Amino acid sequence: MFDLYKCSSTSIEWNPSPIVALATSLDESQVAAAREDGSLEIWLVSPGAVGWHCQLTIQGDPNLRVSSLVWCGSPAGRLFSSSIDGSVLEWDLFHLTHKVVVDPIGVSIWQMAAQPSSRKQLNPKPDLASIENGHTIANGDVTSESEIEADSLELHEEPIIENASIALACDDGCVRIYNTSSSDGFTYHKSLPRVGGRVLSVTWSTDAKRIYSGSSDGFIRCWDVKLSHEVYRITVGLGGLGSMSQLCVWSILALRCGTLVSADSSGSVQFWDSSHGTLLQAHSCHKGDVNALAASPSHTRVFSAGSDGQVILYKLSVDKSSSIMMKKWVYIGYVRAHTHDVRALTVAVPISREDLLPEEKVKRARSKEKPDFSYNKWAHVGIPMLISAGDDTKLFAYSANEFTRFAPHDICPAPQRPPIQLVCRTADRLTYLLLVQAPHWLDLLTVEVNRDGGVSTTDTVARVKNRGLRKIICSSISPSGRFFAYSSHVKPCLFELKKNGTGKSGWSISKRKLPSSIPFAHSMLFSSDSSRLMISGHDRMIYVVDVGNMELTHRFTPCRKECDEELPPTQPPITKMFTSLDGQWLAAVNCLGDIYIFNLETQRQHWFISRLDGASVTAGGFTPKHSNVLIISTSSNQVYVFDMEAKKLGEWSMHNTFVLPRRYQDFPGEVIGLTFPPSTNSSIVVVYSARAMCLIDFGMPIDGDDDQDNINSHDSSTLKLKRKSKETKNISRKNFEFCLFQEPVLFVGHLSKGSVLVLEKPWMQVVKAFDAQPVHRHIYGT
Amino acid sequence: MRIYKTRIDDTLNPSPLLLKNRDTTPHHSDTTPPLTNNFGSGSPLQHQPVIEMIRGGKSFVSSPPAFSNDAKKLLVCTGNTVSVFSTDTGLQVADLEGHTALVTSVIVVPSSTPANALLCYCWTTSLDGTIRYWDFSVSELIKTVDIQLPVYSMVIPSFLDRQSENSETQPDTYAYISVEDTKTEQNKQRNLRGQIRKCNLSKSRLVRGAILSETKKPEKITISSNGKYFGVHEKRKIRVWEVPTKDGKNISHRNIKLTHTKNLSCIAFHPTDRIVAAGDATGRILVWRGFGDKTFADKDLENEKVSKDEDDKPGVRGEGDADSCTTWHWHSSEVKVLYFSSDGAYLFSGGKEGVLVGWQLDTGKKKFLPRIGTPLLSFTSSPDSSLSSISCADNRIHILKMPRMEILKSISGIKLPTPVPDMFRGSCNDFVFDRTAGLVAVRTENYCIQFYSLFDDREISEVQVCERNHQPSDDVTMILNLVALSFDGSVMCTVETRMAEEGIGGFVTLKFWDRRSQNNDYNLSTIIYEPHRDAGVSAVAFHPTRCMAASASYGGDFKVWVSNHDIQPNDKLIQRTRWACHAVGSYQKKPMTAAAFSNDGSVLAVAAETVVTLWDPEKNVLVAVIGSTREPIGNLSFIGDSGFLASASHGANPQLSVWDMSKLSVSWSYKLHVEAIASSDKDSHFAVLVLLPEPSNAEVATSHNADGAILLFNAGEPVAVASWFVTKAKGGGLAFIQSRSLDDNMDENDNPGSGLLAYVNGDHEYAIFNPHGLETQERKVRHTDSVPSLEVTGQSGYASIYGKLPEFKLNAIEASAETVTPSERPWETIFSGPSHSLPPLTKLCSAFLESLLEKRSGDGLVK
Repeated sequence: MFDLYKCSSTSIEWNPSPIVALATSLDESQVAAAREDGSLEIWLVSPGAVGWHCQLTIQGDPNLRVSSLVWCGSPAGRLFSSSIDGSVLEWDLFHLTHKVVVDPIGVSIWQMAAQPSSRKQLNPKPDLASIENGHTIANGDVTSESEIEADSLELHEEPIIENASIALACDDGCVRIYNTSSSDGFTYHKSLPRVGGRVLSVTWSTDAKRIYSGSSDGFIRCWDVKLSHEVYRITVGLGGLGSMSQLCVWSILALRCGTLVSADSSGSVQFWDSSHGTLLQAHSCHKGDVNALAASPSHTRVFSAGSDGQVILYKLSVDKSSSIMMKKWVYIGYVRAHTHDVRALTVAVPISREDLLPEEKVKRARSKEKPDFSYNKWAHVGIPMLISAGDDTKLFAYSANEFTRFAPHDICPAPQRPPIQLVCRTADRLTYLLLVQAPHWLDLLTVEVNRDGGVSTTDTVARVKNRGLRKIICSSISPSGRFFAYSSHVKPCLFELKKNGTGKSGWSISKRKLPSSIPFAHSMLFSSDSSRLMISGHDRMIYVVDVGNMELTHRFTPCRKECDEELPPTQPPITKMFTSLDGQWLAAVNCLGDIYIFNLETQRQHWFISRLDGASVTAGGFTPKHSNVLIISTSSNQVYVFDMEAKKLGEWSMHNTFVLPRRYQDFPGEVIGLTFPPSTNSSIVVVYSARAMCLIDFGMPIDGDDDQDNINSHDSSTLKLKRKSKETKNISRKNFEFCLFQEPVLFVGHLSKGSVLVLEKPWMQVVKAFDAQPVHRHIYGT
Repeated sequence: MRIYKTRIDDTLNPSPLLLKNRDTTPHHSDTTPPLTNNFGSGSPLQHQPVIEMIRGGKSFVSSPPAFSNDAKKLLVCTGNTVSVFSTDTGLQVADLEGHTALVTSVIVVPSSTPANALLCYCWTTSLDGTIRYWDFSVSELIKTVDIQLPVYSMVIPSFLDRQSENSETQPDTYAYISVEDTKTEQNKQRNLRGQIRKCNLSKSRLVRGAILSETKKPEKITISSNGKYFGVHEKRKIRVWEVPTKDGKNISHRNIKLTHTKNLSCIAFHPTDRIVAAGDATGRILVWRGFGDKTFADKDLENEKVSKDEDDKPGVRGEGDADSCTTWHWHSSEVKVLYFSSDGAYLFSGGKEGVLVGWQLDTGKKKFLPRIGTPLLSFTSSPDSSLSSISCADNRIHILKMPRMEILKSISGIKLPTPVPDMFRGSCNDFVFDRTAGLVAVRTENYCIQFYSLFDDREISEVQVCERNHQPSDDVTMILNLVALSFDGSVMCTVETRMAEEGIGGFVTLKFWDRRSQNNDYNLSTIIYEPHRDAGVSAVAFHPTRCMAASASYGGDFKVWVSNHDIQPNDKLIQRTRWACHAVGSYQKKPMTAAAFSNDGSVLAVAAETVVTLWDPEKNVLVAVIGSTREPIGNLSFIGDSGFLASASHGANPQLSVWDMSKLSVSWSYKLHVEAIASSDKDSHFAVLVLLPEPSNAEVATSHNADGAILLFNAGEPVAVASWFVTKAKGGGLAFIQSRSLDDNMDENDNPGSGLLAYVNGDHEYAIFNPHGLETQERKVRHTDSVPSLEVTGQSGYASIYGKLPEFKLNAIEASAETVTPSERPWETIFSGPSHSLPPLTKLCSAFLESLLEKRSGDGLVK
């Protein structure tokens, strides 16, 4: 169907940053991941067939090293992070910014823990689930899994405003307690007495009356919160004495049954009776520091992970054969998915969205019955899953219930993928230009397409570095290839690219001055004729700049209703924008998945599309064939076609969206882009993720019906057989044809109508660039 | 191994192989039919094939051994017999004979009270279809239960169940046996030959209709040490049965299945808790906890269990009835050994790595007993749990002091043949004989030479030829090719080849070793790197009288080495021998494939492919070249003083030729595939080990299960004097060895000097017999000769409880142990020493009585 031009370029730099902390939101539908470069990602926990979606990325301060994340407070959830330099940041997920709530206190903060809600005993709702351990666990609920499902519809009904306390484990040996309130406060409350060593870990008991702190000299101390005195002290191991190396207690977990779990640098995970501080069980299965602990919602399983890359499951085993009920924590098994140290663990429970339309619900339920991939076999609504992340920059999801049975699921095959745009610069005899956005600079590359079937190559033309090494949030290149722009979190910049002479380095870049009133942006886009630049500022307005005379021509305010247009902006910031070829339409998508359509000719908002079945928009675009047809791909792996003029779902979508083939629902990896052939008479779109691409022809019928006949067949072997035969059929059929990639793919773009450029980068090359060394594994006999 | 003596004209009368050979042998100068046997033709005893014979070299590790109740004896299944070893000395004290096929298991009847810890009864099973009951203190068979099906494994749960002892009426003893059902026709069609059946041992019959399971092949049954559960592993699943509390006739046996994704190799039960562990083919150990909570739990408890959430079974696959399944992974290949310690705190595992791993069950902490150096096969613990034994694949049983995992004693059998890579198959010999001392030197897998006494059936010593750790990897980096011993056994020569790694570093080393005076330690005297440049050494031969050796190589030359003693003047005790090259010879650049010195040492015969070159070894002069054969000669041997030389060549046209040295021509030859040639020193007899060609001799081979024959020739005559059929002849060897001066009763009736013929088969089982004797009377190795009979008292309970006895007393015992001959009265020395340092009389009494018992049984054996 297409000529595929593969390009595995070494000139494209891709340096993902290790994940240092994870936290699950209070409703357990989102997981926040902090990376070492200071950025924060919000991942939507999704069950079953649907791939995980990185909902938000907030570029933080690269100089601040996040040590832990805590999600607490009111049901909406406030996300705090502590830093090694002693400051506490609050992340604003609505404005996509962060602010410092505690100025550096002079000593490092190693961990934070939020107080479990005291009202939980009275009203055991899962939405009151507390965060027990800063970067590890967020599930203090007493309910079983079934109750979560039953209660999930009430999630947002009770806006409980409560002042939660947060305990900070500080380097100087103090545990400091801060109070948070809904009125933006983060105030110092008190300090527990200072003790020797560094406090590395802290957690609250489930009744919030006690605080357990673990320190670098090998002690766990139990504190009475009210009286601020030490109740008892546990010697985990002797460390820090004489010539012995320090024994660091990296993580503590308090379970509902009164068991305290500690993880330390000697590689052992120990279970203590928290009422007396006595040892129950000790396991030393890790071959290195144990960095993180997590417990399943039922608190009968504990997971530990450490610098040996393993995630280990322990289970509370009740010995029923003897007359006395002996409870014992036993080692069950390990899974080694990470190639590097594991830094953080968290448990999340995927929940179904409440704003699912009823008729959709029926159909989705049907599709969930039939598992295809192993991830689908265990990842279901209401079933807890474990997420681990670490130095290899990847996130893995495991089944918490059937941990050793299923292979972990790679949530993000291409972490921190550099955004890439491809344009064809027609001014000088068809030069293909790539704009690659690295964290601190932009790269312009030319593509040499090898038409003989070899690997295409790229050639660096220019590199534009940001002054002061500020992080680049977004960038764009004009379709003509003449202009490109980027924005850091200070201001946007526009550049003009010229070619002078015929020499190889005959490119020159000149900076153009944008109107000073334009704030820094979350998204930028050139119109298709390259005459206008659309900038969605962080003040939630969209600025349209005429590139020719550098004047601000218009300012849109996205709003839900058209009459609200003159009011100050209230909507979340726009993170994605698409424009039509004829320059009439501008579609702006916010981070939650709402779509605003603007008419650039009338300069008015045309339409507002509320988020589609509660899912975010992963990619979209206007078709070149019909300029008023917008195609949207959502995080729940649906494809929608909108008719702009009619302000409704397109004809194709009416018929087909809910009968999309099963295999499209199981799209491997998160959809990261769409590409259209540059032709006005083609109805084809190529949807791609980092692991596969799929071709959809809107002009052809889809036969989703042939999936229905084997829904009820439970015999796996015949199912497999059928699937195989079906797959072979699919190759002959053009529509929804899948093409799997071997290596992570960064970008797929049409060069011409019949040729597609695929930019891939072998993961081994990426791994080699990591600072951290992979886990050394001794091979027997060497 | 069986040896059949037959008169050739009885069983080999049609003798297709020999007749055919004669016809096709071109060099044959003798036209007389070879099968006219004048030996024994007039003997009236020809139909009673009996020859006095020593057998030995059995495998000790075919089945797990068992400890006696006082842990002083270890019962080891050795072929058709059960050998009883003393755990104190590691020497054999008795054996139980009676089974006619391989003994597959031995179960000691446990003592219920400490009082009758001296009970010495055991049950054994065998492939001959019988279960036998013995008193092993006096080696007496008490009872035989004939099952008529080969029994592969047996467990007796009621022995382990302590409660049942209290009941007044002794209930019937039931056993669960794993048998191979070869009779039922329908089972053959279903390809289910293995069965697990129940057997009433008290009534000596199988329980009718109680077939618990049917499997493809008979499986080994494992039982929990409290006797409540037993199970088998089959492919990827294990089955566990609960033993009914009241064992009767019509009891249903509840069982559960647990599955895994890999083939399982062994299982073990926890002594107290409901925990079962299994090892798989990839080295993982799975520990199921709380198995059978639903199936085996009592009815009234079931309602309570249902309330528990169903899917909370981490690690358990499918519908497996277990609470959780833990996976441990340390072993890199199949786990062969799994055993829970008697208190249930540890799990021991072992496999191909030769490392015994002790897992602390609660924490998963490991401790290791490394450097065993060979794959482990089974683990057995004694009733008092301070002793246990591990059986290793190199035919050795180590007795361990248990909490510390420390090797106390080793019981070594003859080492098994080592697999040789194909490229070295021609240039390796497996063992050589020390003809004067009656030893065989066996090349072992871990680059050692084991010296094994054929008369005593035990290991004498072991010499490490090159330092290498045991590695369970498949790629061989080094190989020990050849071993040669001088005639008096004082010099050993070894050849080893180091493989090139990635094209670099491969070379051949020739080493000479000296034996120091009395003890059997060999010391390295000379190392010669690349003795024949990069070519491999094909043979090493020693001069019969002088310190001279010849090595022949495939590179086309041979070298004669001589040793010169240089006594260092300052220290007379240190005497060094150095071996140096004396001469180099070659013949037409042909590869030299075999070498031999004549009996007086005046002639060195070196085979240059198809011809034999004769040299004067002193002057290095080529004396003569004789004959040619079709294939390269692989074996040369001068036949005594007779002036004949025997040669054997392999290949497509194998040939046995006897050359007349006086005429320098072939005397006679046969087309036979010769595996080994042995010639006697003095007279003109020689014996050859011949592989029987399979197709032409099918009916003979099947009738006797024999694949080889030993033919005894007189050098001048092409007619075999005698012949014996043997099994497993491939890789076997022959030698005439000098009989011991002590046991002169063996060969008093025939011509002295020719000695006994020792035959070692491909599995290193051996037999020694007098080839000229008329009668075969199977005789045991006289172990009792070598057992210091006082050892038992030295290790009596006193030392282990109260510490060591005063020093001088031990000395006295040891001294007496060395000097005491079997005829002396050992019990007299027990009471020697001051009375205050003697153990209490009650302690000494049992030891005293035991030593008396010991003595008598030993006397009974020697007769």
